[in-house]
Amino acid sequence: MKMLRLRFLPVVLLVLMITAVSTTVLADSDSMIISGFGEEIKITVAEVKELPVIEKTVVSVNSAGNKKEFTITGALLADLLKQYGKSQQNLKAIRLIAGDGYEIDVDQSILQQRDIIIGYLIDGKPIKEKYQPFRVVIPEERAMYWLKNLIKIEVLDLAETVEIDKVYFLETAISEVEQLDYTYYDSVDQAVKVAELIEKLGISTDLRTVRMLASDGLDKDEERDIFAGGYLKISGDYAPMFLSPDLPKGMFVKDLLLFNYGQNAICSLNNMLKTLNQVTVGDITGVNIADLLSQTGLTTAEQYRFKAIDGYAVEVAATELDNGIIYFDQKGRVRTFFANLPKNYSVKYLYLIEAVQ
Amino acid sequence: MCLIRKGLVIIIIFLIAFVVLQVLQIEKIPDYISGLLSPGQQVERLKHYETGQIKEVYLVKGNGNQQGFIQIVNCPGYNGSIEILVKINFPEKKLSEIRLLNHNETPNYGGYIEEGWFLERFVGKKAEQELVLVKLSQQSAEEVVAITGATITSQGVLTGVNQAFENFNNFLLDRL
Repeated sequence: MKMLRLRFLPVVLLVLMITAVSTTVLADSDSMIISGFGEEIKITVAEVKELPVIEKTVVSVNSAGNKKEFTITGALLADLLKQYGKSQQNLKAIRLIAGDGYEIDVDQSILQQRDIIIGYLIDGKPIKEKYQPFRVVIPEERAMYWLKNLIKIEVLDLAETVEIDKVYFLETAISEVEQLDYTYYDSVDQAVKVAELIEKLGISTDLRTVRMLASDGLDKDEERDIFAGGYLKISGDYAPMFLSPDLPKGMFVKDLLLFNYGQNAICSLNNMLKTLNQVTVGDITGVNIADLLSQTGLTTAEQYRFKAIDGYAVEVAATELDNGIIYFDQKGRVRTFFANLPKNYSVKYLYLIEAVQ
Repeated sequence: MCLIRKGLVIIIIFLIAFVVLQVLQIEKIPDYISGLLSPGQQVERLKHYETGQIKEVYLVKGNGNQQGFIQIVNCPGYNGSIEILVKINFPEKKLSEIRLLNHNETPNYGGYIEEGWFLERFVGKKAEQELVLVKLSQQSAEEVVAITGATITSQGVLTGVNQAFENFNNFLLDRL
């Protein structure tokens, strides 16, 4: 029996040695600020936890379409505001600001219709440290409103509105601006600096915000200075797209239909063609001018001036707009066609349409 | 009695072999290293050169004059550490291979490092140059464009590669 054990001893030792060799080888984030009611108010997590608790299971969908279900626990902004004698219903707009600089405005319609949850637990656990103190969730609204790391809520006056009196065509305007390589994921696309485009257009505004409207209906206000510091990607996926390497990805706006800069609307004919009904007259297919101008919000007038980039201009009566088409001709130029007007009303390299007052 | 003696002799032989193996530090080569070797190539681990965030260093030998170093580097990511493998060939002194071994980056942000196109931006870079992260587009050889919306992750990987370059230039070259 002893011999038998000894016979296996070397094998056991060998196994032990191999194992031995192998193993040696293989080797102040707990509060936010509310401003806009006079003095700034500091709200702590403890204070929010004292409010009536709301728990809701929600599904967030990010810009790539990925879905994630989670349960948020927190309090309603409406209940929080009540503590200070304010009503969410009576607010005109608020701005949610995250610690990384991301910010988004919540307009009156959302404030009046939706619950805004100021969350402090996700799936029953405290929010990750970098996303503290709060996570905002607005069920039934896009995930872009669902801010992490909420550090400030600014109560705003009514969103600024202004009458549009000029509509520019982006595809023509960018030919005047330097185009840069912009690496977007694995592709190198072309982009222009917003500030250069605005300078070239010669437009200005005193308004604090710029409105961006995307093809999918996203309607977003952005701080003018932030917007002017960004880029418009004019080729590749989601063009034209507002973005900047210095901004969080959630602030990018894909497939821009237009943006309003003061009294000016700068629109993408490409996306108008995808969004509006197309009309065909003979061998020309484009968008109806009246439809396009209605989409841009251009003020009504009796006459409209159509101007090419070289300065050539024609004036067209409002009654003719419904018989007009804007399209890309075979050379890729933005161009007009009026069924009832002479050929000289076909403006090539259409740059802008303005209401003649 | 004779059998006991034989048994003892065998045990002693194994013990001596064990000690020798330990002393020579003959190690099993991890798969992520052996998978990079071409036929005839061998590696030698250089623990002496493993310092700071550089967790493993291997000298690649064989196939004539073709040599190089493989380094495993821990880089700071957005969601913890990113572990990368960097291979620098000699005499070219260029990065010939970069692989992602481990990471916890967020999908749709830093998680894009899993897609080959970002790491490909490092291949062929000269080890003599310190790499610089840029955000829009590459204008010169030492520049690497960040992943859209994931600057911290991109900078982490770039920092790791620069550490591997520094180790190569300051210490490993002398080993050849």
